[in-house]
Amino acid sequence: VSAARAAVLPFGLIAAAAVLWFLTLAPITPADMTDLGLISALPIWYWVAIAALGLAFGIGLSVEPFRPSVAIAAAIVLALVLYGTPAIAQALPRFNTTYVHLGFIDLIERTGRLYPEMDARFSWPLFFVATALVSAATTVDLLAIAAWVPLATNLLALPALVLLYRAFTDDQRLVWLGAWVFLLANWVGQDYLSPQGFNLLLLLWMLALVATYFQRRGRPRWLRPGRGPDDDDDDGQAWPGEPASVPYATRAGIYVVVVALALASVASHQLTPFAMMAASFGLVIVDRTTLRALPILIGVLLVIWVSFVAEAFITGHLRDLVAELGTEGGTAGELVSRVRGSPGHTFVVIERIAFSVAIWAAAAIGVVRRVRSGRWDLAAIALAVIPIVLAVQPYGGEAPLRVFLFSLPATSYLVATAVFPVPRRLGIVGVAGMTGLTVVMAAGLTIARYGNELADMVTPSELAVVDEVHRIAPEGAFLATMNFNSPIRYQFVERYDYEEIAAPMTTMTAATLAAILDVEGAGRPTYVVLTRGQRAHDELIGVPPTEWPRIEAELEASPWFEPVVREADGSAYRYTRAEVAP
Amino acid sequence: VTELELVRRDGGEHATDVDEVIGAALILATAVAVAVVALDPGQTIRALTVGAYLAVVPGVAALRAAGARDPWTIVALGVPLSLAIDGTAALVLLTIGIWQPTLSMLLIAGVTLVLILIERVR
Repeated sequence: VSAARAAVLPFGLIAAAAVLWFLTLAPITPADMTDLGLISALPIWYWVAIAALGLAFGIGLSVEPFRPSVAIAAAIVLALVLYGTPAIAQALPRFNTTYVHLGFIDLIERTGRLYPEMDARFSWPLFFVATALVSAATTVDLLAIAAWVPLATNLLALPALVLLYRAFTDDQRLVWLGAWVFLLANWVGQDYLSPQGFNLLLLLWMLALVATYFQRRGRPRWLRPGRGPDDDDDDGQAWPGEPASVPYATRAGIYVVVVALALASVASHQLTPFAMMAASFGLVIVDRTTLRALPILIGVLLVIWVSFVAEAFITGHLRDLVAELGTEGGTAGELVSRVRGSPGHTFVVIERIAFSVAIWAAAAIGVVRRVRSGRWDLAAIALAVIPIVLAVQPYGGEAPLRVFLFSLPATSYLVATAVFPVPRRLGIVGVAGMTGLTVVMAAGLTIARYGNELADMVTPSELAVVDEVHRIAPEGAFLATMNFNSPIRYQFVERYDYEEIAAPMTTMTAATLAAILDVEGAGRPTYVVLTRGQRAHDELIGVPPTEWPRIEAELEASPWFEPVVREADGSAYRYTRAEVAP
Repeated sequence: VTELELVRRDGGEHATDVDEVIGAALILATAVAVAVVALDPGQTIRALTVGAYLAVVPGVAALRAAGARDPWTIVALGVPLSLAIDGTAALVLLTIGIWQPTLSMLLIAGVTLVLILIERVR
């Protein structure tokens, strides 16, 4: 690629991709999708835009000297396409847990109190209190902006990744390809309006600051002379020597920021501080940081928080927490147990596992290629491997997902080293390969991340059902749903007793539901709320499509259930038998 | 471009004209945000000014006080750090039984001004 074309072509491609994506993106409804999720509703132009971005990025990597401006522009538009599409194409924020968190924020904003007895997450309240303050001080409706949080999180993660990778290598192509891979592989979807999304940023920035300002780059103390790459290898990349000295006052200031990030994490999320502690410990083990006491400091902060602030929760759940440690069903078994449901959903779950394994395999290839070229990325390897220790606590069955997420920043860099084991520029074949790799990884990400979109998306009609129930149900009422997947708690969480009916739908009848409500409702005003998202969730995990219409028909025919709300995507019934004959 | 561009290249010994301007801008932003909350000139203005302030300024002031200088990195890290400062200030007040967004804003503004002062002293 000539220098003149290389200067204009990538920016033209990036601009064309952005325009093409935006103009061809139509509103997406559940009717547009199959059980493969969002990918089944995306237009072909979406993929043309992705290919144009991959081509532009590849051209950027082929130019000598390398220009970060092309990579920056391509990465920003790629993030917009991958993480902004639902915000533009869907009317409301996706994911039921977003609505649970909106409910917590609404509760704090209205009452000025925390409710640790209601939910464990109130024992780690910093994120909820911060967003409640922002909402109250700005009078902004968070429901209107929550859909953009994943995009904002990934955009804010980019500079942290670049800073982190610059601590690993001086090769700027490798740095930006690592960031590119991260955007294409971040399928776990913990970047929504949530403490964990906020904590992902805290973790990334902590790692970036520690790896940059408190790094050791010389031969590790534990590696004897004569082992590993020589100190005087041909290009000085193996052990490049200690970085230029940063003024003491600046290092002290940055250290205060690192501790502040750790403290904010300890006060806002149960799991991420453990990831911070493990990551900093990993850097200490491989002798890649001068902050040898940082893991201990984070541990002390954790103990203090758990002992004095979250003590009530820990005391009440200690037996459960200990019992789950290392259980097969809670960790590896969890992955296997999720492979079930409709044909499309089963494919999505298998694809998630395959996509994750492929990322790890590519990272392993990168490690091998780097070691063979005399470069030991000890810090990156430690940060990629150490999150595995977190799998000892199942964390509600999500441990494998969190391990993948916490290792992803380093894994993405190692994947990039498979392409650039040594500093070089891409040739024409490499540019074509980068275009193909981008499209393939974007497809993998879209299936893995948005594969449950039929269940994850929320429609205005569903929210209208919830709003109407909140309007008519008296305070103290018992609100039952068939499963967790509804936005029913997005406001007024303290006014009602919410319950998910855990009984299997295939054996559910109006009579069995009434028997459950007699016990659970205990004579209170009781409502059963059925929404499209609950049905979609059930059908994705294998409930036959005939079951929900059958239950709805039974409730309509039953004298004990009075229809009080009917919308296109849901309905609600008042349960009357307990009131008549408790 | 090196990994050290986040810090002041002269070792933090001399404040530049840019530092003076940014410091003044942060003080001005703090004054405007407090005034907007106090006077409430309308939902749109309030959302834009106070939202931008709470999302960026306290964290930027903290990072500059810590010696950081690269503008893009400061803005990107400034957002999560701002939320951490906002949440801490509000959590302190909430813990002692006070939930007043206006008072929280004043506390955050005070913390921001202290951080700007620390940066000037450094």
